Amino acid sequence: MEYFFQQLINGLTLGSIYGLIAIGMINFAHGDIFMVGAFISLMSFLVLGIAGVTWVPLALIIVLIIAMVFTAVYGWTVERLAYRPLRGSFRLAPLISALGMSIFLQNYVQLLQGARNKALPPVIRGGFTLTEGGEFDVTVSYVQIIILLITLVLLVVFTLLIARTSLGRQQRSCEQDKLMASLVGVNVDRTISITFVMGASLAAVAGLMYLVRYGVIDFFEGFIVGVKAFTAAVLGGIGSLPGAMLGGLMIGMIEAYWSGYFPVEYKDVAVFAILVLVLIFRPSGVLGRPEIEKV
Amino acid sequence: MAETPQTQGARPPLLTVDHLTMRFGGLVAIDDVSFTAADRSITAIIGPNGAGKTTVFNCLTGFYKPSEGRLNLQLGDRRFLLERMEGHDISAKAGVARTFQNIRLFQHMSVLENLLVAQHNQLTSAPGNSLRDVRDNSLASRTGEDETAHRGGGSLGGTAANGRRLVRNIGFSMLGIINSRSYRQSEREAVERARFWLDRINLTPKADWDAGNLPYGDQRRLEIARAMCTDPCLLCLDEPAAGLNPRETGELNELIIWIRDTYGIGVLLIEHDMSVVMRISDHVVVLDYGRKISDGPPEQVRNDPNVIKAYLGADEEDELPEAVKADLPPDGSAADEEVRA
Repeated sequence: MEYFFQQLINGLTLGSIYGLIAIGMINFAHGDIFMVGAFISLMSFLVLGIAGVTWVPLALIIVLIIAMVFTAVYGWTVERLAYRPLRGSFRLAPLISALGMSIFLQNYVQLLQGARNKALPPVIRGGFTLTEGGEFDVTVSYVQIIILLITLVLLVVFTLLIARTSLGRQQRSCEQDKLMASLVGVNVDRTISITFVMGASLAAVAGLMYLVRYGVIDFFEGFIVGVKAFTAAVLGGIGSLPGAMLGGLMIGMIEAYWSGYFPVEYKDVAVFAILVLVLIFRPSGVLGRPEIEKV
Repeated sequence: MAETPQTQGARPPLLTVDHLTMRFGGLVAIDDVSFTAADRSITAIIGPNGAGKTTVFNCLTGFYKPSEGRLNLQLGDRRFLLERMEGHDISAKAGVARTFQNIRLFQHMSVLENLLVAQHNQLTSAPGNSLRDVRDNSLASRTGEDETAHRGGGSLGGTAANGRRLVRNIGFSMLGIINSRSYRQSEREAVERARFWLDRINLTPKADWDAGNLPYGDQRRLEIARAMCTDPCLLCLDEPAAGLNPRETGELNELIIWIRDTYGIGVLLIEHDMSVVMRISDHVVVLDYGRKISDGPPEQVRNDPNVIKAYLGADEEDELPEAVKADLPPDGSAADEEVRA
């Protein structure tokens, strides 16, 4: 039972990270933007360490800001190079150019940073022990608490932003009908740029949290995490923020429990098998809007 | 060219379409069409199917770049060349709004949100800088009052201005998240105006519906209201009466006239329903096979032999009364025959 609770906590943490990436999931290079965010965080930590900033909360906040800003620039650039020129082109074109962007980013980081794992010594140590004396001590680390809190806050902020603000309305109008949006005076190019910048900042937060939690990152990490986050978005229902979060949490849980009770090598098989089942029985995702065509 | 009664003396008309030509490869969809549309008046564009009416709208609203010709929009002392502007600037700066023959609402947004998103430009611009203020200023300057407020005209807004607008846009959204007072203020104004329009088109009880779930007639009216929420100077309506029953058509006539009289804007109207065209328009332009065949007040156009010929399809000159035959341009019918063959 203790083991079950421990995996619940681990699954929630992992799921939050997937969820955060899934919320900002706008293109197939998004996983690699996440990876870039993690690398920028790593470098910032090292630079801060050299500069002598050792008080952890301050260091974390500085790293967070640096990572969000720089990763946002990457997101903006990806949109500018791989998406904007293809707007109005056939539908597969941006998909393919995003895949190209993904391959480019991986190789770019591999060339600059090397192919080996990069490790970060634990930044935040310690945590609470929830139960003691059983066959297994259930613990929650501070890192896990921080991750859950940040995720919750960002989810609320972004949900409100999309649902309530003028920018959110613009983004939804662009998503539904770009041409019409421009006709009511929405600057479509600018709105999409802002969306990419926002998505990339979220990916940077996820990258930082992933780095702090697991302590290691490599150039290929973004790809598999990106695919999982995409799965999360599909699972929850494309276009729904709470759905993306829920999908992320589900995938995190499935992975954690599978790894806990079954052969760990097959955890990805389990995740994608669930995806297949959901797509068969509920193609629009768990919280997605079923498409009913009006005739 | 026949002028509308509203066009007075030296004042240039709101919209001047000047030798507009649109070619798609070898197909000439619009061939050297010129006409004007004044503010405070309703200009109808009619013609048989395929005459190029919607193509004119598409040129006006930036979907197509015309092959030749000028689209000149005059707001007070400021002039916009629509054919050189980006789509969103045509709405945001020049104040041209349009509706579609096949309705294009944001189907998955609520009725209220459809009206709010159209007011985005008023929301994010600083006070005194909205389109309405500028227009009021330029209207004031027409009557000789002093005008100082100038915005970047046409597409010549500098990069610096764009950057500033971007920052303001993002900053504004941040204000939205923390729900600051200035954000609430402008948001409240937007909601008020949206409510006003909801009342006007009788959709208040359905404000929270997804726009896509509204009945057809409601969608038509909502689309017009949304266009009006962009605070336009020129409203382009593409077959607003299509698919409406006679009662709804009557209400629509009223609404369009009310818009003209209340807001003093120019209305361009594409319509097949002659009961609408003849009853409400101040000025009618008739297109056939991409060319203008008649232009003038409704009574004049109604009796124009060229129009009768285009609509009734009288190919044989013999079938036309003598008086009509004499009026036909010498090359007109021959060219028509060629195209029709």
